[in-house]
This record gives sequence, C-alpha cells and structure tokens, in this order.
Amino acid sequence: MGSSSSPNGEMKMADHSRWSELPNHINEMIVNRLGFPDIIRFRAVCRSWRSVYTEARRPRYHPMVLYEYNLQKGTFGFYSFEDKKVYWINVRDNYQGKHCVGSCESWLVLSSPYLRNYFLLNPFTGARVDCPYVNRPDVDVFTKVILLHSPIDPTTKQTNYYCTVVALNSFSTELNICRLGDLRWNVLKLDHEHFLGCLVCFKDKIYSLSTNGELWIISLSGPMLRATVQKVLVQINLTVGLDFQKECYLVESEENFRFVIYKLVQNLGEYKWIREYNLPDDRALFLGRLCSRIVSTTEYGGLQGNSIYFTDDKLIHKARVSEYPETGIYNIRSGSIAPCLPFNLYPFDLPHIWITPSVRNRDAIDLAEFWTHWSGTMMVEQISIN
Amino acid sequence: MSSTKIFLKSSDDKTFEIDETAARASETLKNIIDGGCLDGVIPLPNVSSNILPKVIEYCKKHGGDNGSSKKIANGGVDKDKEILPDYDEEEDKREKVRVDELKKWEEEYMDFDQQVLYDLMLAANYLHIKGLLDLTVEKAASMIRGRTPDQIRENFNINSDFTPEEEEEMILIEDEWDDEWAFD
Repeated sequence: MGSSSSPNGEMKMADHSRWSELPNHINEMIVNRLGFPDIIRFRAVCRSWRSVYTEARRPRYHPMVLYEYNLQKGTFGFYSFEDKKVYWINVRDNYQGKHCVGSCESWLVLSSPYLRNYFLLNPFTGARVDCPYVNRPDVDVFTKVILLHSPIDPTTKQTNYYCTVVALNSFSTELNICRLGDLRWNVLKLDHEHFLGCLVCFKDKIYSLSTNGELWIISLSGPMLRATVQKVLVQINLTVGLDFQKECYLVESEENFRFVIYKLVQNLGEYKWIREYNLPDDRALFLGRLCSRIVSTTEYGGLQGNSIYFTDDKLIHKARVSEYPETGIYNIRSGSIAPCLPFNLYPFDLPHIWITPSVRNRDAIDLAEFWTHWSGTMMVEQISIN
Repeated sequence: MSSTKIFLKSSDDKTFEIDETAARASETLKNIIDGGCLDGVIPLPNVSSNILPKVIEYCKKHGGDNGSSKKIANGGVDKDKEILPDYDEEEDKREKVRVDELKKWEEEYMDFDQQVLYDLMLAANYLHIKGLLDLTVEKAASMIRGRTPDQIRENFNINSDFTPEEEEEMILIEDEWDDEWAFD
C-alpha cells in the first residue's frame, strides 16, 4: 500500500475501499468522536464499518423519547429534543420483543414474544444480551426491570457478567435478581403485599417504597448476590397519603395537576423526605415508569431547566380511555405545562419511553457520579389539585 | 539545544532529513533513537515519499513538545489557566498567541483530500505520533458528521457492500419537525 508515487487522483479506483480496511483501533477512535445519529449513519456505510465496535465508549445520545415502536418488527421511532427531529431505526428482525419492561441509558429490557424470557437490546447498535431463562411455572411476568451496570464491558467488549439485573414481578411479591451469564434468577420474596412498582438503584443499593410509607433498601453482596432487605420507616409529611398506585409519583392524572418533589436525606442512619421546591436551573427530570433520571441541560441542548418531563403511564390508564395522553413538560417554577412532542407525534397506544443519554467515558470511576444523577434519592408525587 | 540530524528512508527509497528533537515527537522513532541502534538511516517501509515530508513537517512543529513547551501539547488555553492560576499575564498572552498560531497552522496543514488523510493517518499510527493521529481521526470524523451514508461513501470513496435487503434494514429515516405546537 502506498508504494506508488503517483499524484492524488490517479489511484482513485485502486484505492476505492481502503477506508473500509482501517485498523480496528482507528475505526474505534473515529466512532468515539461521533454522536447520535452520526453513529448510525457510520454503521450504514459498509460491512466493515458496521462491525466496528460501537459500545466501547458509549456514544453520546442526547435525551430522546421513544414515542413509537413495533417490537415485533424491530422498528423504533425516536424524537430528539436536541434537534427536534424524528429518527426511525430498524433493528434486525430476529430481535423480536413483546413488551418493554425497562429502560436504562440506551438499553431497553424486552420480553420475548413466545418464551418467558427477557433480553436487553440497544436499538442504536443492535447489540443484544440475554437474561437467564425464567423456568419457574409459578412466576408471573416482570413489570419493571432495572440494570445496575452497563450490559457490555467497555474493555473486553463482551457481555459484562458483573451487570446485575433486578426485576420486580407484577404482583410486587418478589424481586428476581441475576447477573448476566447466570443460569438462573435468584428470588427474593417480599413479605409485603403492597410494594410499589418504583424501583431505583442508587450507589449500588436498590430503593423501593411500600404503600404505607416504608422505604425498602435492598443491598446485594457476594458472588451469589445475597440480598439483605432493610425496612426503614421514614418520617413522612407528604401532601397526600401514600395510597397511590403502582408508581409512587403517580396519583391521579387529571387536567390540572402538579408535581411535588421529595428528596431523600440520610442523617445518622435516619431517613427523611425533604420537600424540594425547585430543581436546579440546569437540571431536567425525566419521569417515567420504566426510567426516571435527572439530566444536565447544559450538557444537552434543547431541554428546559427546572422542569419535569413526564409521560403517560399506559399500564395504569389501560382501563380508561383518555383523549390525550398525559405527557408534557412541567415547569416547576411557573407550574405551567407545555407539550413535549409535536402534536402529530402523540402516541395513542404505547407508553413513551425515555432514552436518556449515556455518560461520556463512563467507567468504574464515573459510575458513582452517574448513579447520583439517577433520581434514586428523589421521589416525585403527582397530585391532583382539583 | 543543538540537535543531531537523523535520516529517514521512505518506502520508495527516498531519504529525508529531520532533527533529532523533532523526530522524538514520534514514539517509534524515539524508541529507535534511545535504543541506540541508530545506524545512519532509519528505513520506514510503511511510509511513502509523498507522505513522509508531511509527517516531518508535523514533527518539526511539535518536536520540542515533550520538553519545555508542554502546554501546547496539552492543547487548550483554558486548561492551562486552571492548572496555573497565578499565571503571569504577559506570559499568558504570549501563550494564547502561540496556541492561536498553532491552530491556524493546523488548519492549513490539514488542508488535503481523503487519500492523503488516509496515508497520513496510517503513518501517524505506525510512527506513534499521538497528536497527528488525533488530528487525522478528528478530520475523518468531521467528514462523517451530519452526512447521510451515501454522502459519507462519496467522501471516502467507499462502495457499499450491503445487499439491498440489508440496506433497507438499516435505513434511518429522519423527519424534520417544526416547533409548531398544535396546542398551547
């Protein structure tokens, strides 16, 4: 290569595919400098570029909403807040899913259509990682699944076997816990019938709320993921009782409503909910059944600060036919609500799913910081003021 | 600092001269020099004579980097300020001028087509010149950003080797939506 001294241009034909033969590490260097949607376009150029490993450094996706999707066909429609564009992505059709039960960064947790099986899919890269098969006849479906780590190890580029997956069953009677690559799920029975559907991970601990105001902290330890459950009674001065439905932030969704945010504070082993009247001006909170998260508005354009982006929770509204999906941007200071999608993009049959950005160069060190951005220490309540 | 001359031989047997300090910008050359097995001319079978002068030009500009003027290698002006809060203002100004000048130089230096870019990128990779590799990689990335796969292929003269079905599969449809809200 390059042995000819002929001037540029003459070698054009012979050179035609040189760029598709770049060494892998250079390809990865290029990919690392691309964001969304350039990374998708890069992968569509040629076969060898498609095979470039794109998970190594997570590409920066800006906050988007997955507003329409056909899991069976593997098509995903995203609306980007940053450039106000809609992107449709096709993922190969052997990645069929039935329901989406979780979302973490750019990953979705999907259930298989035929088997009682769950897998993780990154619609942006097409990467798929399977969870252990659920082979207990008595277990019912999972309604919420969270990931405690990245499913792909950035250095080995293989499945991250330390990635812990925690799933709540639909009756909220047990947590199913596994690491990727495990053969089976560990089951943690919850001796409580009124476990709420909210499940967040904060600093390697899992937090959940029960209907009568107990905070549950679940710690996992050891290679076998031995779970210890700690029930904490928190001093609560909530505006309304905790008799709400599945998701702790959702009470009623009427025309007029507002959000009340509580922050969990720990002091000398005592937990307390403190009412927060505002979010920082450079923070937006994405609130959803599958994924809730606080995002910096300075890092990602097109977002409104001190605001809550909320989505309709179709599970709860299944019985009710609502004319407009309740989704929008709630400005905390002014209390006003703006639509978060152009009107003609409103979904009428599927819940919105937030796809929030990955953190650049996320590794073990950044992980702690990353999880503090998770809304793990916050509880948001949506109440009716009518 | 006076410097010894080093001779580099391209893949097509042409010899080029470079100062030792400049040559040290390349990790590969630095190892050869420090290894003491320098025997007059260093053969570079992977770098042709139309790329090697370009590489030498870069090394000349950045040769002393690992010594006294480390700040330029670090890049940003702001970064320096953070590291050295009690920075001499005059020195600061001079530094700024230097960085600006370097940026302008890089701009002119990087003005070439994709074929030179490809060769230069591989040469930087082979000779382990990190700054030059970063520069060329960034240029390649800038030729991808904001373009459709077809435009990217045209930019890099790549032929698609996908089947029509696969092409279909990967289509990323983009629709522009105005900020027109249907209700307020």
